[in-house]
Amino acid sequence: MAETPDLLILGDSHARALVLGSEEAGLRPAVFTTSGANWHAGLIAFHPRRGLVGRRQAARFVSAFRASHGGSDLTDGRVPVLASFGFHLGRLVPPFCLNGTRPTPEEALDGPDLLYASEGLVTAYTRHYRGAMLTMLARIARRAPIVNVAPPVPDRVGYARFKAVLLGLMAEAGVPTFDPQAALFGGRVPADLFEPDGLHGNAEYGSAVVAHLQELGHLP
Amino acid sequence: MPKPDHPYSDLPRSAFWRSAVAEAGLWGLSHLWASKWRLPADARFATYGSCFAQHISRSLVRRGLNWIDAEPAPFRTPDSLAREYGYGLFSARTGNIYRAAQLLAWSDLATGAIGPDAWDVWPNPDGRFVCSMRPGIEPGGFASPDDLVASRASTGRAFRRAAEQADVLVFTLGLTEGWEDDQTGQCFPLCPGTGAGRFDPGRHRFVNDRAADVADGLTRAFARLWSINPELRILLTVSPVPLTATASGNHVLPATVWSKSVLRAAAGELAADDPRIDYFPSFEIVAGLQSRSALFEPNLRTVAPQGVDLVMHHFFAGIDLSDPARPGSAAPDPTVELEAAMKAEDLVCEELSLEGFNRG
Repeated sequence: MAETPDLLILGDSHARALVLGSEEAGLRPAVFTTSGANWHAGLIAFHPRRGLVGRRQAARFVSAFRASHGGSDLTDGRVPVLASFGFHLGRLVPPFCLNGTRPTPEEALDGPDLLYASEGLVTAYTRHYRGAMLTMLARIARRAPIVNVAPPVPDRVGYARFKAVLLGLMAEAGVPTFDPQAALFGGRVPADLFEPDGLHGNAEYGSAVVAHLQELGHLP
Repeated sequence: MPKPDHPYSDLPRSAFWRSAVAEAGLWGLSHLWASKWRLPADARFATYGSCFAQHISRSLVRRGLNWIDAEPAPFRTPDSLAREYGYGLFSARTGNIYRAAQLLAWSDLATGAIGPDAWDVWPNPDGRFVCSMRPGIEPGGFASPDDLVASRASTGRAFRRAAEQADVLVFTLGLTEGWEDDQTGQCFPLCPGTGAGRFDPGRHRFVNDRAADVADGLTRAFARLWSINPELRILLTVSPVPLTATASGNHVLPATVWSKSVLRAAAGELAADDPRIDYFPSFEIVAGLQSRSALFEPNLRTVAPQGVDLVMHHFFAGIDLSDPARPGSAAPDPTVELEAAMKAEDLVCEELSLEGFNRG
């Protein structure tokens, strides 16, 4: 039987910083990550009784993960879950903005041909594409202590608005969330805390997040 | 050949009721309308008006004609959600425009004669807000007055862009009856208090346009539109849909006939006097004697699908798109670039996730 880890890290590419930060803090995480495109495509699901479910090519990922943890997906409450999924803004915001639509009045005023989409529509659009993941997060939250960590968003049109809407929807669904960008960095993550791609937080960023969550008692 | 002895001697069959209507019957009507204009094959159409106007936009799209959607729903919005939020019905998200005064109001907004905060914002008891010019456009209402005004401004910009780009603006006149604010002069598409807003008898005034009012409202609206696009042609039509209710004090049947007659007269006179304006007989096709009400649903109000089809059959039979399409290169498909960018970003994310996958 595999040794019980200190926590489960569950998410997309943004979870990597959390893995590095946990390890830096001396924790032993179990890690299940796959790209945001796979989460967006619904390849990972969560069954209320069976737990994590992989669809199509993700099925073997989930099976392998369970196999290495004695058949468990570790969402039964025995370890805290540090999650970072359900956002995948790169798959949500660029299509939304493609034909000139902007999700804030300020952004819509940047050009004469830009269109404004109301808060209601942005929320409904987000709910349409992220509803399944919100349900999944809510189901996990009912079984295990979970914190869903929001990714740092680049200074691109629409990203901050969609992140805020998603955080609101997660709160409404009863999912505890943490937004390091707002809580730790006053809205702007310093450039030296990013990976060279400028999109993902690096190990130092992850350490800052993990340390804060430890202080708050969310992590051992 | 002997000279005709009076003006009716050599008129075509379409000029005589017996041959053109009574014997032809509902499905045999022909040459009902011929457009004044010869348009390019790629002519661009903008459409607004009462609810019947939605059929025109849908039919234009189905026929593969260039219908301008100047305020499209965000890319990949599910169709049902887009419809719920009033996208894709008219060339901008104006909601139904029933009266000439409303078209003038939108033209004023598009040209900057008024600002987007000029019209009432109606608070709902649940803390949301309703646009008094588009009461049904936002399910559940807007989150805040700023949200509402930003949306209204966006529609004003789209309305302007549609006028700039269109060759023909099709406007379907619906009503003469309406309500206005005595203090501000704002017209409302719905009586305040019926579904949204609050009726104030000291402030909200019933109006029932005369033909001169309709003509004046349209003339002023068209002047605004021509200031945006001097080449714009206007195609007027009158909705055959009867009034749901009248506040005129008359029976709703004569009130309906009044309303439609006034609209028909005003539209006809404008079209007769200006080569840039034409009239298409939607009302006559559906509500004329030859239809014997067969083109309405049993409620005698909703136009049945076969009625819409017949109207559009005559529309397309009379439109002349025989001028060559304008040269121009097809715009590149922006979705190709979008997909490429998202895939590139996915690759970065995939690499980072795989590195951490299944550890522990």
